[in-house]
Amino acid sequence: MMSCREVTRIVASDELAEAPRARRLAIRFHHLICRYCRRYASQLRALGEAARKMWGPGSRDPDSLSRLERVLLDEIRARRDAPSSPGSSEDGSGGDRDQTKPR
Amino acid sequence: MKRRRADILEDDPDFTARIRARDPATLESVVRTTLAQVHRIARSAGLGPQQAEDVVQATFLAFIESAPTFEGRSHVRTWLLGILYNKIAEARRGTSREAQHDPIEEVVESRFNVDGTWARPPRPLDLHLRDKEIRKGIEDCLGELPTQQKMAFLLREAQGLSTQEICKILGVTITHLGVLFFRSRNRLRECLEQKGLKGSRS
Repeated sequence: MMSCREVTRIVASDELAEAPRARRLAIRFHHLICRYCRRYASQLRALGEAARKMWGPGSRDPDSLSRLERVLLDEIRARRDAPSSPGSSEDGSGGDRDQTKPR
Repeated sequence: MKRRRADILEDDPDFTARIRARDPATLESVVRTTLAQVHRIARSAGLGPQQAEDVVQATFLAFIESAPTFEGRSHVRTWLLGILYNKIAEARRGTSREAQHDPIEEVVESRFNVDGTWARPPRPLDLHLRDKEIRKGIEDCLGELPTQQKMAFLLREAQGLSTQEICKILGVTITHLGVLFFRSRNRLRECLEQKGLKGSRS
C-alpha cells in the first residue's frame, strides 16, 4: 500500500505517465479512498490549467510584437544584403566556407 | 495540444543546412512561427514588458548569430528556447543552478506523519482566474521561484512541452527535471495556501 507521501511525490514529479501500469493503478486506487491526496492532485491540475490560461497558446499577445518582428526581419535582411562581410562574423568561423561543411 | 505551427520547423537535413547557411527565408519563417511563443514565455517568467522585449530580441539575434553552428540534433525551437532560458537567467541575475538542498523539501516533509499519512492536509484553494486577486496571487508566487524551477513549471504547464524537450532546454537530466517539477509545484501550492486565497465568490 502506497503512502500519501509517496503518492504526492509521484504526482508532483510528473512521474505518473512513466510509471508502470501497476503503480498507476495503485495511485488511482489511493485517490479513490484518500480525499486529501485527491485534493492535492486536483490543486496541482488546477495550477497547471491556470498557467496555461494565463500564458499558454492563445493568450493575448501585445501589439508591440509586430514591431519586434519587423526589427528581427530587418536584421535578417541586412545580413542577406551584406552576406560576406567577414568583420561581422565571430572569431574566425570562416563565413561562407563554414556553412558548406557537411554536418 | 496544438503544435501545428511549430511542426513546420521539423528538423530535416535540408532545413538544417538552410539554417546553417542563414537562408533569409528560413530564418524569417523561424521568427514568424516562434516569436509569439518565445515572447509569451519571457513574459511569463516575470520579465516586464520592456525587459521581455529586450530579452526576446537578444535571443533571436543570438540565434541568427550562431545559426552556422546549428547541428540539427535538436528541434530548432528547442535550441531557441535554450538560448532564451540563458538570457532570462542572465536578466534575473540569479545563478540559475538549482541548489542541492532546497528548504521546500522540509516544508513538504513537515506535512506528513512518520508513517506517510497527512499530518497537515492540503487546505482548499480557490484558483478561479476570473478573480483578479487570484491571478495576482499566482503571478506573485510564481515570481518567487528560482529561475530553473519556474521555467520547468512554465514550459510544462503553460507551454505543454514534452519532458524530453524541457530537459534539453534547461540542460538537466530527466531525474533532475522531476525534482524541479516537485519543488516548483509544491512551492506554488504552499505559497498560494499561505496567502489564504478564498476568492470573493463561490
